[in-house]
Amino acid sequence: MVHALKKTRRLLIKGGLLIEVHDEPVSPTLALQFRDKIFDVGRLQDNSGFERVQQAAEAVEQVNKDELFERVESQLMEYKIYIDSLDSFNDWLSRQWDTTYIETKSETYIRESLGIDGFAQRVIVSRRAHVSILKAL
Amino acid sequence: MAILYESDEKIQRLLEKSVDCNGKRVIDIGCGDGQLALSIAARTEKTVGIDPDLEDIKLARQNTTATLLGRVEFFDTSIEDFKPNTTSPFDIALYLWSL
Repeated sequence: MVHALKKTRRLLIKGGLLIEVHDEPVSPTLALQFRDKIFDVGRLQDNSGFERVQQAAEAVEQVNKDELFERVESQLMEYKIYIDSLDSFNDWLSRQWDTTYIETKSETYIRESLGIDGFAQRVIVSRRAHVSILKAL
Repeated sequence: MAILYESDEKIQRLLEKSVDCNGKRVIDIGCGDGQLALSIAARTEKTVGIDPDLEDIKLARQNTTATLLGRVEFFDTSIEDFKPNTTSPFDIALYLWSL
C-alpha cells in the first residue's frame, strides 16, 4: 500500500491532493426498519478483514512520515447502507470480505424479517469511515 | 431490489466542500464501475478511472455518455501497473475504499 501511495505521489503535481477513505476497523451495526421504527439486530462480524483497513491507515501515516504528503484534513464520516430485499442483502453480503460473517441468530432473524412474510422493509447497515485529505509535497 | 449507499452522496458533498475539482485533472484509483468518476467528469479538465477489474471497467465505459467522451477515460489496471498516456500530472487523486 505504501508503494501504491508512492506511485500516486509521482502522478500528482506538487501541492496536488490525495483523498483517501477507508472504513474504521470496527464491526458495523445491523438494524431492520419497519415504517419509522428501527430494530437493532446485531453486528457484522469479522476475524481478519479489518487488518487490511488497519494497513491502509498505517500506509497513510507512513507517507506522511516520509514527507511525501502532508495531512491537511482528517475526519470521520458516518454513513448508512440501505438494503431493501433479501436478494439484495445476499448480494451485498457476498461482496464483503471472505472473513465477514453474521452470527447465525442475527442472520436468521434478518432473513425471516425480510422474507415474503416478514415485517421489515429494509436492512440498515451503519458504518464509519476515516477520510484523509493529503497534500503532495 | 436496491442497495443505497449513503456514502456516495456524502463523498460528493465532501468533494464539493473540501476539494475543488473544477478544471482539474483527476485520477480515481480503484474506480469500480466509474460512478463517481462519471459524476465529476463534466466539471474537470480530465478524469481518469483505473481499476484492475475488467468487468467494472467495461461497465464504466458503457455508462460513459457521449458528452463525456474525451473528458473521461477508464483503464483496467492497478496503480502499480498504470502508465499514463500523457505527461501531464494529476491535480487530485482519489482512493475511495480502494487502498
